[in-house]
Amino acid sequence: MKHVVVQSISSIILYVLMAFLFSSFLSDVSKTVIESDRFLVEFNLLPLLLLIVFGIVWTVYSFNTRPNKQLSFAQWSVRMTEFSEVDEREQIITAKATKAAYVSFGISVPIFMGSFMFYPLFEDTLPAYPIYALASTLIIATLVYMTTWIRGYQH
Amino acid sequence: MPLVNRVKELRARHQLTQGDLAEQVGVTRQTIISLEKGSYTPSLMLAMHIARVFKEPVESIFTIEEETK
Repeated sequence: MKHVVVQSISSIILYVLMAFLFSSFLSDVSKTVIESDRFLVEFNLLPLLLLIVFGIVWTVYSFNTRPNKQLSFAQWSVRMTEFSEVDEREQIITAKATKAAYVSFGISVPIFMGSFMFYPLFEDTLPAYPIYALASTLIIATLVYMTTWIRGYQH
Repeated sequence: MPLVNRVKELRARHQLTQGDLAEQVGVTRQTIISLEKGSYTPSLMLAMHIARVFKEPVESIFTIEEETK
């Protein structure tokens, strides 16, 4: 269970950092200065550095604590790290949690789609809203997956 | 119709810990705990593995509660 909790929280941190990076990039690009013969762009490197550092630490930790030690790095890297399917019971719990996360997409995505109708009203104050909305759908699905998995495991 | 089982009783008789049994049948200890509590219904394959460890027929270890009444 600890594995699923740690990996789910790590994924959420990763989504937040990615949203921070892309929103920062969007903000920087909008400040781009186009002069007659030059194109000047300034980037805030902090979100990128945070993402790289977290990504390295997370990759090393996750690979070393993977439930199935027989998986090579190539095999492991294309899988979702939140999945823990060591035996048949965990496979059932993972299937239920994945189903719950899928259902959460069916609810959260239409809500966020609806909220985009009002985006022009607050575009100036929150220009990166679409990025955070997308990140939120992933975060909600991950939280639903994690809580369903914990409930199934403790049952 | 819940499935009841004699895994806890047989495990004690064979002097096996939950970890020992889990290792022999290839599942986690948590699965054995859930199975003994009756909150998890095992697959036919797992039930047959358990029956093989205890050298008893599957139907003598796992029974549907209605049949036992």
